[in-house]
Amino acid sequence: MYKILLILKYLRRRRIAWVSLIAVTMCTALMLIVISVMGGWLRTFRELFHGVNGDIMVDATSMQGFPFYGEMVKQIEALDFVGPGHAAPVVRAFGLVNLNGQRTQGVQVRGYPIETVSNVNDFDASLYRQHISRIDAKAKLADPKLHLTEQERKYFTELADDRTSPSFALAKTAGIRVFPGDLPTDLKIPADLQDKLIYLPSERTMLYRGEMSDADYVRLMALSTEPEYQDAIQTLYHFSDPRRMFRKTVGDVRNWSGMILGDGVASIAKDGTGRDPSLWRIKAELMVAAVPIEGNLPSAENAPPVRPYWIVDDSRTKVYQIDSNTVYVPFDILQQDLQMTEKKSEDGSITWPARTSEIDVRVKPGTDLNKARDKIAEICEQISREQMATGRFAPANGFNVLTWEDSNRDFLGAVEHEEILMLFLFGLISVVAVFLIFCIFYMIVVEKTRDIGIVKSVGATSGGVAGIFLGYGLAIGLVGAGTGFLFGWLVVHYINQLHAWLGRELHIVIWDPKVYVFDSIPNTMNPKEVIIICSVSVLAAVLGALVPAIRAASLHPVESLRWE
Amino acid sequence: MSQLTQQPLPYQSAAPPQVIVSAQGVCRSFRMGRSDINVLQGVDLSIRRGEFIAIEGRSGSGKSTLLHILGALDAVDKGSVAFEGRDYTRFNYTAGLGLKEFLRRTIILFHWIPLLLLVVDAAFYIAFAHDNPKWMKIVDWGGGTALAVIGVHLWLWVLYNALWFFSWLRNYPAERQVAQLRNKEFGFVFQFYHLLPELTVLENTLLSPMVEKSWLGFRAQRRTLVKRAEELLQSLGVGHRMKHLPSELSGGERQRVAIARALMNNPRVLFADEPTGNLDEETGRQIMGVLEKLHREQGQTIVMVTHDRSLARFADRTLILQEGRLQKTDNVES
Repeated sequence: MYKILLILKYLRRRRIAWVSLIAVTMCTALMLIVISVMGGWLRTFRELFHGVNGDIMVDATSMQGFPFYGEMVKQIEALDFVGPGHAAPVVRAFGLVNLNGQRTQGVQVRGYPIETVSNVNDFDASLYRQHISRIDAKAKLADPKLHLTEQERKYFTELADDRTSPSFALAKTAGIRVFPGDLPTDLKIPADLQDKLIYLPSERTMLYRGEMSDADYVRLMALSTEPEYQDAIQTLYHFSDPRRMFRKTVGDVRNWSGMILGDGVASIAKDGTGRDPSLWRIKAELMVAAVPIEGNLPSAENAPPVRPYWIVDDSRTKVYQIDSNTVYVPFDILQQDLQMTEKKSEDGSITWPARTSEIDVRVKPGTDLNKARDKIAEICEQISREQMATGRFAPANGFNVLTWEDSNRDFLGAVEHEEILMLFLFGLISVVAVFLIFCIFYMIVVEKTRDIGIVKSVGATSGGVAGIFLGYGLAIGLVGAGTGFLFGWLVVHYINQLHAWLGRELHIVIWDPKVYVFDSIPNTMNPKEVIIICSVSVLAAVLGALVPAIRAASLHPVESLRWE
Repeated sequence: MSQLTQQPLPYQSAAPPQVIVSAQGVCRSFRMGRSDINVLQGVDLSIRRGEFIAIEGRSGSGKSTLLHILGALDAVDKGSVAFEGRDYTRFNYTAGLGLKEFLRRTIILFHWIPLLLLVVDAAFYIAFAHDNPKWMKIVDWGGGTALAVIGVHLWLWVLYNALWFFSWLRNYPAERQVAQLRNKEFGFVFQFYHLLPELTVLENTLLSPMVEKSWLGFRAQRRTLVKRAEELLQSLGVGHRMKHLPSELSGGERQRVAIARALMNNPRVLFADEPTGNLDEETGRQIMGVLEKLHREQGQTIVMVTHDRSLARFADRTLILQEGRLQKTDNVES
């Protein structure tokens, strides 16, 4: 009983103990913040990498790819843990892209079979026009503060309900950014054009759906003489029919294939106003580096053609390394440009089968990835063996089967190491707290030597006296861990607001989204980690009190009563 | 004073032996520097039930030491002290110069050496050796030795603590018995009151039952115990000070609180170590009045140590401690 009473009294009356309380609080909060942010970062990293790759990847060992992927896809889809449509071949290559005749950039090119790719990875969710703008539209419809016009509401509802994604098809809508005040207020748009010409005040954008005919152009131009309005209509006229953009191009440019840009690549074509809807009508020229099946570099006569594309969308996977230099094109076209389609030798004796660079597979939730990987590897190897045994095909390069974790091991490993390193460093700092508690408790024990003699003289045992100080340490540990948790939770929970404030008021930007991949700092706490860290804090406080407690216990009652 | 009488404890109902505490051939010496001072050299003493004994002596004559030994706060070098026939000097407070003590001294003696070595080593490196590969060997040797000594040191420290822990564990049953004796059978009043500064007067008074009982046990009897403490404080004239801290009390009041604390568990023997030594004459007389009243009205056994001859008149018996022995016995009828 006296132990609890004395602990409570000492906690209240000995202010010096509050220093150790603050130390425990700060260390607990520090550890919690570090592990939450770093851990959250790692988790997000993993999710994003997972989203980019699918669960399991059959990956070619060389740039020439591997054959028989069609049969492989078929058999993988037949597996009970995969299911139809959940395996997709992907072609990878390096290329040079030129946007609108302005800039050329080296890029990674991924050829996606657009119908199935959204089943195996999160590509669909990364598309701005086809996915994110729809979510934005929903959010806008739900936001009462925006005061949408009738026309806007209609347009956003249609956009939100659109279910055609993902696709490489050219957008049917051209848009131009206009500024408030640019448009005449008394505009009387003819009834038949009201569905086509849409003004979105909330986005400061004017859209024209479909192709603007010359007659409509004349009618619209006649509505107002204001130069900004006329400029806008002229641009829309220009953009709405791609043929008008390239008069010199032979053939129907509407039949060009679509290309989706990583949003980092797209940003080089943007002006300062941010996302420009007209970007989706920019012409891109892509030249890919094909590696012929014979293995040598392409010569002048079989050099890959420069193929024109329409940019139809931009993709934001949120992995900076991918978004900054990747473009996506249809699988068949890329395969063809890379000369990876089936090919026969001139005498017809040798056949080079069609090849792909990888097969991405998504398995059903709860499947053991390593087992699935082994099973898929077994299937693919068997197909490869059987096909080669027919003797009809030229020898080909092999493949590896990897889980998404295997394929990103280096990168994920580096992040994990970083987390462990940070934890170790901050753990080391927290050891200081243990020493601080030790010193403060030692001081308290020395100061309380006579009191120890008194309680021993009324019958306390040395165990009891040690219990006072251990209990004292425990109390400080518990209170410190509690307040530390609270403080840590507040910081972690409001870390983005805090970071924004730091950037706004003090111009300190710690979290550069370019480096750290994500827009926002992870702000969730893992209960397991919280429990571990709080328990370690409590334990550390008790540990710091241990030696002083032993000293207090071993004090001789008479000597301590005589203590001056 | 009648409210002080409580229900007799179970062991009190049986016919108690006349002698409560008996000491035989008690010797105790202290080490001062290199020489031993033999404070007690064979003290024989019997404390009988209901006695008021005063032990007189000059400062440094060892009377406080004798009181501490009788009150189970200190151990003897030789001889024995028994409470109702049970020897309670077995509990060994002084570890002596065993392995534990040797370790302790070694650690204290050498604990600065490796650090010194490291500092010298670092200084040597910075001053001379950092660009001289020949001398680097010496630096390596010095650093290595320092780290080795630190390692050994650390192990000795761990060993010492382990030994301490095991000896504490071994002694624990004996220590527990002695602690119970101090808690239930003996009460102490010290010259410097020795109240816990963080606790109020009431809490200080309740200290012995709080030490004795668990939290739940104390909660269960709280009302009775608080009532008894209040009665005690009332009867000693400090009832109005119950919520105060010791620092807010005068010397006389503090000593009354100390007496109340000592009486709280109904001790068989009350030990008073110069109870008036820190008080002015008038207050000292009042305190002595309190002790005398206790003795007279309740038959409280009291052993008082004092250097003041005038206080001896309150006692039944006065013993004089001189040169380590109880030299003279005075029988004074009260």
